[in-house]
Amino acid sequence: MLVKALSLAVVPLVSVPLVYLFIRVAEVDLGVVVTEVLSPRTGQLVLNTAALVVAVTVTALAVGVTQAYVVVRTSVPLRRLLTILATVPLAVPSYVAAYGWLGVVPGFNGFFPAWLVLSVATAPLVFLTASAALARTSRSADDVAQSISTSRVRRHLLVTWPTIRSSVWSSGLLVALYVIADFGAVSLLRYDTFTRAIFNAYRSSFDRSLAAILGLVVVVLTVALVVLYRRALRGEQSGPVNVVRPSPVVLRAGGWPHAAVMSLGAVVGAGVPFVSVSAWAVVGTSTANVERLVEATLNSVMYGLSAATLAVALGIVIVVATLRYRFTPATVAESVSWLIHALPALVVALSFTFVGIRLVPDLYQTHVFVVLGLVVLFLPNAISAIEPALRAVPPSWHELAQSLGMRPSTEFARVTLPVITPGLLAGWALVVLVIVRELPLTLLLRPNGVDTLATRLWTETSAGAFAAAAPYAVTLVALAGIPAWLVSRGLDPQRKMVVS
Amino acid sequence: MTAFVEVTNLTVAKGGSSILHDVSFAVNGGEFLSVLGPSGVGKTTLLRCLAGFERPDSGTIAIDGDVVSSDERWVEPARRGVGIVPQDGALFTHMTVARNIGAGLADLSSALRAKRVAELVSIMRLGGLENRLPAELSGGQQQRVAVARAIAPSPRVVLLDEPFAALDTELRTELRTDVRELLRKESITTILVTHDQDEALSLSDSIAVMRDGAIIQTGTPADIYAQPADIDVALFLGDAVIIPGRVSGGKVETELGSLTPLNRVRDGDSGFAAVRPENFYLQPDPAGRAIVTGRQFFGHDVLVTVTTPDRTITARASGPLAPEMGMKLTVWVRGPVNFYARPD
Repeated sequence: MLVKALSLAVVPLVSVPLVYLFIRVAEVDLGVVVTEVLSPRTGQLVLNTAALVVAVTVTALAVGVTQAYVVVRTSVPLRRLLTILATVPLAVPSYVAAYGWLGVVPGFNGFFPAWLVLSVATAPLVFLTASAALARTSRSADDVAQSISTSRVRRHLLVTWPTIRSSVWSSGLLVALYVIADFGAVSLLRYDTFTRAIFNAYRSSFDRSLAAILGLVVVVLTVALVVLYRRALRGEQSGPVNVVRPSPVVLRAGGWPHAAVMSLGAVVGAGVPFVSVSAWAVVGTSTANVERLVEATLNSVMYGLSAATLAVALGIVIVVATLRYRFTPATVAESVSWLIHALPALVVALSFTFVGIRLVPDLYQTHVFVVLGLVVLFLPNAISAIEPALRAVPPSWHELAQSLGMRPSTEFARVTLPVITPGLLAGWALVVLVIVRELPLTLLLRPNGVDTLATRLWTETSAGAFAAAAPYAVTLVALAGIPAWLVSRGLDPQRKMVVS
Repeated sequence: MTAFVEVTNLTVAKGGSSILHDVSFAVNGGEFLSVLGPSGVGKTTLLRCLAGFERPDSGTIAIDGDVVSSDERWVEPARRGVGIVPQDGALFTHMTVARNIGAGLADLSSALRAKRVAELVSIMRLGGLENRLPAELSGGQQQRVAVARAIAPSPRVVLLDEPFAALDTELRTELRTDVRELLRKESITTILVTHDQDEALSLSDSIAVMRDGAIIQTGTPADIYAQPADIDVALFLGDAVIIPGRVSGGKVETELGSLTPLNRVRDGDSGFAAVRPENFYLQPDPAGRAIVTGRQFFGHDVLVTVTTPDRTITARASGPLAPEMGMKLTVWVRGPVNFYARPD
């Protein structure tokens, strides 16, 4: 069976790099590993990362849930506008936002800037999850609570909180993983977390075992976080889905103060980078090297198109093999790729460099290798677009087609494919655009002298060349804005589904 | 004011369209009232106004002499002493059965609360399920918990919003009987909204028939069934065959003979008589002009479709004596009928 054979081939592609990272560390003298892991420097990195993770997660949860509550459950005016404002930061990759701030506030370095930029970047994730959950609040349960208690707090504890609790916690996990994984913003803002330390260790020393050891520590921490989270939420029930929404809570003073505070937050958080990027763009465009910009854009788009196409093709194979044939290796491949999706892209890239250097030196630092890395990283995005599309095709059609004498391949081409094509195309387009904004993996794996929009922006900003970086920032925001817009309309391309 | 629940001139308009129009009715203490009507006539809105989830545009609602809703006064839902059982049960999904039932008993000491919960668990036959979560219960069990939760705080009025609609027939009958018994035992005044005429007829002390946001008839189940206010009510409350007729000399002259009107009629009026299927008498008659063209056997009785020269009628005949397919008949009407004059 072609499908089974192909899905079997995906397993090494997604799992070998991680396995190799373990081997790489195992080769190092155990004493060295222990010394490195227990060194004050590693301790400092754990503290720095943990402080940032906790601060950003708490802030994003507080901001996102409040925004969602105000927009979904109250009578606040300008609801549409507030929703857009709350999701606007999604259009700005965190490293572009960092660039924007650095462009107006010189010396914007350290914990506070990293906290601000990442909180603004992640609050929309919480907002989207929480508002979707809040919209599922059952009116009849809300009614019953009203007939039971006069206290609004008690009513929310009875109905609202249980309805949104698991979604809020899962978006919190999403934010925490995002912060651990973030490389672009923390490196530009010079705050030492694991990702920045790994990158520096990789770049600066001849011996790459330090980078490998730190990478492994991050893998262990991430897996521990996900496992802990699943433990904590075991036995969580999801509530009934009710189409009737409860009546909105009427706000004092017509809700205008709430609207004002929310808009002000959005304007400061997302507005500064926007203004800064635009201002530098005015300076930058006059001095821009158009040839280089075009080249970087073409590279970005080429990587996006080829990696997305391959990811969607492999995604179809995996989903068909799991859903139609219940083929275990395909299920394994899917689980492993979700795990990899939860890990920092930088660590995945690191593991790919080890594989590249040792096993396939001919492929290492070629376009093909970058594309393979991107495919592994974004396979889950493709799968999450394909799976619902394929589930929409009733299995009975499949059986019916066979009873009409079609072979499975004919059936797929004539029955299934036409039905899932719109879903596939939408998923494919989103993966293209998500890949365009990818930074760490491309930065590590790209062939010498090849630049994409993201790497170019990163290099120029690191060197303090704000004007030169501006055209790249503008192009990136324009391209990245498309998936952000789709996400805010409820189509989520880069949702990390570690949670369910 | 002698009634326990008194609703006067209640009007609700939303977005320009009127949902409830000048609704008035009264329920005596301990009585079971059903508000009966097809879906979308404003029954649920009426219930939500009574519970205090919605504010009417005008009109007054009083419970036990206290005005709970009027132009001047507004009492919060939780202070009205009203329990509600929504259609979907709306159990708190994160709470066990016992905690759901006790949700409205926050003011009681934990010992008293446990006692009351145990009492309701036993009455509603939920023994052994106390520590289950709602997701682990069947639909019927969920509704039992919802009823127990509403009744636990001994409310002055219980509102039932089609709570039996989603259950299958057998469960529904069983749960109805249990709930009716519990309400009678606790002598709680109850208002049920439903679109199910059998439910309303079998459970209620009185029925208010609703149409287009207004109440068009109130009375005991027997009264309403025997004397529907108009043809629509007659058709809604059960099967009826509509036969054109004309009043002459105090009788209704129809193709099926001269019938005695139940209600007051005026000579010279023309209109329609409504005949219940059980009021036909089917006399086997080889010379008859009617013929049996259909037969549905139900055991206790048979629904017979009869084609007369003028129309097709459905009649109910008792099992063993029902005419066979193809048999020729003469059709008679037994007893008085309701006559509705056509407005001129």
